[in-house]
Amino acid sequence: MKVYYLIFITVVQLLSQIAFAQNNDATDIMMAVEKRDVGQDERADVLMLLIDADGEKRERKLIRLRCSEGREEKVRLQFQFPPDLRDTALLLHDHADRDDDRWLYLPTLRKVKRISGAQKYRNFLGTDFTYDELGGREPEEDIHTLESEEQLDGKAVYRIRSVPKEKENPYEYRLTWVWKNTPVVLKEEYYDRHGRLKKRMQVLKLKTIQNIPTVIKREMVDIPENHRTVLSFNNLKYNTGVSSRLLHPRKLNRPVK
Amino acid sequence: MINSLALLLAGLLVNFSLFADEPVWHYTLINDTAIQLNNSDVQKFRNVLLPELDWDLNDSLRLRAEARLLWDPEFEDWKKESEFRELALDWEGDETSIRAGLQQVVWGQASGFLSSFDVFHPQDRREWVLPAFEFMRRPLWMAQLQQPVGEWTLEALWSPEEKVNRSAEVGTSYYLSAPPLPTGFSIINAEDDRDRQRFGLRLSTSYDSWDLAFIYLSVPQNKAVFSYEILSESQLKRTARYKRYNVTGLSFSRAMNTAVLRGELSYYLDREIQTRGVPGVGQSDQSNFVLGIDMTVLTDLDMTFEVGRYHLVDYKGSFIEPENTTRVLFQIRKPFQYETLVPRLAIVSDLEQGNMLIRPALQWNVTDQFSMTAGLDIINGDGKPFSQFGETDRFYLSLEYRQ
Repeated sequence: MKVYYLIFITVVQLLSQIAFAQNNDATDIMMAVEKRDVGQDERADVLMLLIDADGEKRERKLIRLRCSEGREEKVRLQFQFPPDLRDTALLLHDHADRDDDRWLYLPTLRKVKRISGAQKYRNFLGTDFTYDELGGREPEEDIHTLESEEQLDGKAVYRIRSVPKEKENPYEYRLTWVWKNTPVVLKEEYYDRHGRLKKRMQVLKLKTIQNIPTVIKREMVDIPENHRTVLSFNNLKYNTGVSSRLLHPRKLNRPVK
Repeated sequence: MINSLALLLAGLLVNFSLFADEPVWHYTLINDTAIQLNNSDVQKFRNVLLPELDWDLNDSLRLRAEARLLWDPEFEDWKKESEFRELALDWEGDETSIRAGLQQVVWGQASGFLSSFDVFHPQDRREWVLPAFEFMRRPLWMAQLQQPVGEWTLEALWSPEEKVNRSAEVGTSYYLSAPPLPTGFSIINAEDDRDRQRFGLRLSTSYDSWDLAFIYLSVPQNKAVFSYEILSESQLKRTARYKRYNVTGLSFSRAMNTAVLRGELSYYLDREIQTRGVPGVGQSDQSNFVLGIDMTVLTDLDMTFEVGRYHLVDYKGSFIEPENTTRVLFQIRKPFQYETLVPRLAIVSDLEQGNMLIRPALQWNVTDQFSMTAGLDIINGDGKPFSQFGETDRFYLSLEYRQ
């Protein structure tokens, strides 16, 4: 039974890759990135290493739980380190057709608070990643143009320019390098409202887990500040049967271990 | 009752400890120093150790404990303390969850200064309202049930406890003067008249960017209302009353583009009010309305504005409390240097009386585990109780290490 399942998954992925390679329209490519099969759910330990211009390091540790149903996605981030964030939890309900819902549980207040979408442009926990850059952005929020097809570290990639539709976005545009072989983002560059390169994201380690190509280490560099954040996913597992009740606002006050 | 609960808890622990995961310990060390601005006196030199324990006894049962050990050679009536702040068992079923033990529960959408639903717990007011609400709230032994009902969640609370507000002692900096006594009598203090049990129900849901919760509470008043009974021409009996009243209402919040709108609508039924003269006790319903907005502008500048309006429906001229009270809260916060430097400002004001509490502060997260916060607590105004505390304006420095 397990063998048939593996064959089925492999065939589906192969077919989707063939379809993806044939379609090089920029929006379709970004949509393929969004719709890529990443399992129904996921659990991972996340380590964020913040390194400043002097080489000083700080850490953020959290557990990430995700449940997906089509393009509806629920993500829970359970903070573990630093200690002042311990037991804090962030819940994101990512909707394809309307604004996302976000809740934050703060143990010092003993309350779950709804937080606004404006939070998406701010740096996440003082790292170089914004909430948006950690996966909250939908393809429909940008206008995409295919700029070129090129090689990146020996991999054939599409280079796509994405211009945000909303005025309040701090970036003028973003360049994304998407692997032709499978719709995974390998590199991004963010340009500010003056057209200057502000940040660069690069994938440092890609691994196939349960037949799903997975970015398990990436780095975001703030170019002017010379500050970077290395984001690593450890013990990542797909389709573990994450209970959807853990992804409910009323459950945020009970920390996931 | 409480002893039985503690024994039951101990028995369960012994039973489960054979199969449990390793307990996880953490601790926090805090030194909090405050210097009064008008005379440079050290108002407090508070040292606090907060050990915490998280222990998964099995897949569905968890024990959480937190104690507070406090030592302060300077603060007048808060020199030593050692108590549990939390000691609760958490049971998670497929749908239902139950939490039993010593704990804190806060409902509603408004901040502690303005909330009309944060009345379940009594508070420790020895330092007025200056400490964090989590620090001030007196935890209660209680049972909490959570049960999904379709798209809704039903929560129920029950506590057998009789704790009430603890106030500052006479003669200390934050002592609130007692209500005026009828003149010409000697006072005989009778035993407190307390209603004991507390109940709460909350039915909540999230729908299309709205969070809605219907709340019912039946709680004794945490602050005493004094009744007077004439015993003879020269003697008066005084009783501190903590009588039950009922709270019903709705809390809501909604995300709107770059802001979140929050609010509370509630009604207190049959609340006792302090009056002048004999018998000292009146009764009135009270309507409460709190509206707040949280905004983030310029990427990471967080602002909060809240306004609360509280109205005594059956107001009488003899009431000590005013018929209407309007309070506002303004908070602003902006992180710098990758959230290592965080200046913030909070202002709370009682508009009718022109009172104001102004609290600027600067937090420096020196490392991931050690932070320093320096700030001011400025108390301004002619109305009660602010006028009493005008001399207590202070500078404080807080050092915190978390393991």
